[in-house]
Amino acid sequence: MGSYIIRRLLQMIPVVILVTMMVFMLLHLTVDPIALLMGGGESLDPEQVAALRAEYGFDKPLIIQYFTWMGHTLTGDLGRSHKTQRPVIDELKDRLPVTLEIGLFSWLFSIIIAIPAGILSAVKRGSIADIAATVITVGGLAVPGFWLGTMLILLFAVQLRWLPPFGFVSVFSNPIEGLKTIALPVISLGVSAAALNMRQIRSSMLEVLVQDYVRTARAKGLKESRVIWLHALKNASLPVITLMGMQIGRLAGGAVVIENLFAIPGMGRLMVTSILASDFPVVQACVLITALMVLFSNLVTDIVYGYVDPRIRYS
Amino acid sequence: MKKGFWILATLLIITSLMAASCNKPDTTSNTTTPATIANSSTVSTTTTAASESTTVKTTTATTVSATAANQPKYGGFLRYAYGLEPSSLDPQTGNSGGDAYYWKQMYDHIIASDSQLVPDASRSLAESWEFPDTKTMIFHLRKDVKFHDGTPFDAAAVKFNIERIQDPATASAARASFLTIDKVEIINSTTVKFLLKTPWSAGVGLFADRGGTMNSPTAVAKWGKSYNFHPVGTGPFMLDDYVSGGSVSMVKNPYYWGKDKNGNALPYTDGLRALIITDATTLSAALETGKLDLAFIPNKDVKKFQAKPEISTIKQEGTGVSALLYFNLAKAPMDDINLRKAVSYAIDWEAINQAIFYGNYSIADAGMWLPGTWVYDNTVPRPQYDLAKAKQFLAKSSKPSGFSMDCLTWGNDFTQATQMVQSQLSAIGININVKVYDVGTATAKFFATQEAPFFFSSWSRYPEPDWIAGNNFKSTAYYNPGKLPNATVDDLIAQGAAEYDITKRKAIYRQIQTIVSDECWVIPGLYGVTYCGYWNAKVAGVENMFGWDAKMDLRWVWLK
Repeated sequence: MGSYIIRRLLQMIPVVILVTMMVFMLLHLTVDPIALLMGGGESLDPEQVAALRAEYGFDKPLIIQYFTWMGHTLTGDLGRSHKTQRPVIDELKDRLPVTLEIGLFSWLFSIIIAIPAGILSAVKRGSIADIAATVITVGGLAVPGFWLGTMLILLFAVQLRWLPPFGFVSVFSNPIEGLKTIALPVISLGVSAAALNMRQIRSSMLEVLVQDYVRTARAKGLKESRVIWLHALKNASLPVITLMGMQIGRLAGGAVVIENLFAIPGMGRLMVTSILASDFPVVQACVLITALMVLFSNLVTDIVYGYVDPRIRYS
Repeated sequence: MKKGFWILATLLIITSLMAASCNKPDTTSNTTTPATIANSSTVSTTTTAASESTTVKTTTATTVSATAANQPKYGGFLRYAYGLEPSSLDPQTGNSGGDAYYWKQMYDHIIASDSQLVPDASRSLAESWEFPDTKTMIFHLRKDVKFHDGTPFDAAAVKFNIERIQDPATASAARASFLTIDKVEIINSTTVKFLLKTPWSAGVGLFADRGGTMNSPTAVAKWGKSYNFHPVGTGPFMLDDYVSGGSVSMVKNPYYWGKDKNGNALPYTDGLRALIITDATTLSAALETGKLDLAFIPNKDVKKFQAKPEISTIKQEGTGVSALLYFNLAKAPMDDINLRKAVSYAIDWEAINQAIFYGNYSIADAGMWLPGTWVYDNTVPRPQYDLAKAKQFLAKSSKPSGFSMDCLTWGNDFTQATQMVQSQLSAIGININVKVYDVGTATAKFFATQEAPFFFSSWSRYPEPDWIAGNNFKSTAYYNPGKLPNATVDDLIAQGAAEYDITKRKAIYRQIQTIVSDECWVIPGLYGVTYCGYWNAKVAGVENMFGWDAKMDLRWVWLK
């Protein structure tokens, strides 16, 4: 297992290098950063523009800029925000935990909904429960998070006045207020993941439930709940694990929209405001962190997969 | 039983979502009667334009209670929201007009102005000022004013601030204008003299904007580059906390020098919490559910809030030329004046207002000079929607059978509005190819690289006419893409900048407006109108809060 993990970590290195190059080049090749910083540049004279170009190092060749940036990044120095002049790492320290908390609860929400619903749907195939679950699933997949979020605000905040329409309080610092503030964003972000997971669990379970070993388990007289939860679900969970791992990236992407909708000061919102403010170092750091999160979640998925299915780690 | 549960659950979810999306207005509150709050006369300045610029709508019941509870109260924290993140809290280095919603609460100006940009000494850091000649300004400063960090405000601080703006390293947007100041001389601690390179009547108005704010020299030295989010002014509120993407919190400056007209110390509230909410639906929901005391209402929700008895709305007109068509006068086919006139007469702005801006905006009847400013004059003739005239001018033009051209634009609303222009111009045989970019790219493609003859955009509220004329109509101006030399207009702009008499200046800008309108240099279509909503049982003093720039100044607002 140890060599398997080391092999996977080594495979990640070229991917990380490629990601850093893409993050850096995409921003620098598309537009002149000084023009972006100035919003058109009409209010500054050439003397000011030249001073800014030198100050931010934009007057150096691109490849030098890349290696300078990479060197600093490897030592944990992500630069300073052009806007606030704070170290980017400090900006991320404030924002990343918020996004991780929303993402974690959305992920848990999707699993809590998906596993029982998927199993029920598979076991009671063709029943009203299955049909209703399928309809809800299709709805959950079809509805964009921002629209669902808007509807939830109008229903639970404006009409019913049960939950606040915006803001963020950490569940870990104030559990009751925290759950109230994150409920709507978590549902908005987690519904499509829940629907996907549920579809996957249903189809995996349907495949597994007709296998010989399940029939044997039943023939041996095991209780139906034991057959489903212990024998069938473990084997049906392999594709679901892959899917759940891949959803980390989806959740990070979805956070950009949901955090803006609910005015949550997380990394997704930081990314949008930094793009609008042409704050290059922050945008680069946010994209890099998101890419690393996806790579890390893929690594964890592979490790869990290898643990659950021994065939994977020896291949 | 189980089947019944699933059917019920499904129906409940579908019904709930449909009910939420219907978003019906409160039918019990349709009886609002427009009225003016009793004390609004103390706010309005003496001209008709000013009284037109701010109208307060509220219920009859509120009018009665407002009269009884007219005395400001002290205390409490006011919660308001704005949709844009500040680019900087330092007025001298920020580049977004929206920043003023935050920094305006923390700063004073060396010369402040009223809602029409007429200088007002009672709210200025200079008690008085004089012009011994057209190239000298002398300011007599208030005594005993201190910055939030205890640094005294004096002539040295003024000199520091002006030189800071002029320093290219500061990268201040106000620098270009302030280079007119040749030298700042300290006469004594409360008297400072500006020696100018050229006459500069526009400077008085410019001091009421970001360039005229005074920053603590001690704090600027202490924080260096990061001063932009550690602002220290002399204003009524001091920064308490800034959460990027979340909020800007401010507390009362206990030593603030400003007073209201009755001699009461300002500000009235103990502090402010400005929440940054970018989504229009969330912002409306936050106001509607009482999570905010005061906020601008998104266009789509104006009617809904006007029907709510517990929320009053205050209307602010002329917040900018919010729908504006630019021509490139040097680029074919728009170098043909008859074609420009044909286009100008073929556009039905009221239809665009109704369809895209929910009918909230008003027709731009005085060109670039906005309502509520001293230079506003709607008597200058301008092209108005008239298809017959449009066809006549097209027939007289170099392309009588019609033509095609590109039109650049940006943003969702403008894209839709440009598509309406496209449809309207097709009625006279002009075909528009709409090209949509982000605002920076579209602006650069039209004004810098001049890639199209036609551009749908907007112009922020900036009442100083020299700034508008100098930037849009001067033959060398950035926002004049054709840059065709027009000696008459250039000369008038120079006269306007050098003239200190406001009546004579107004006549000069009328002449400029006449030429520009007659030759269709630009088509100002609609003036922006904003509605600010507030909880009328809780918030008062809002009628005083809009400044010349249509931004909120919350020193005047109090909580009941």
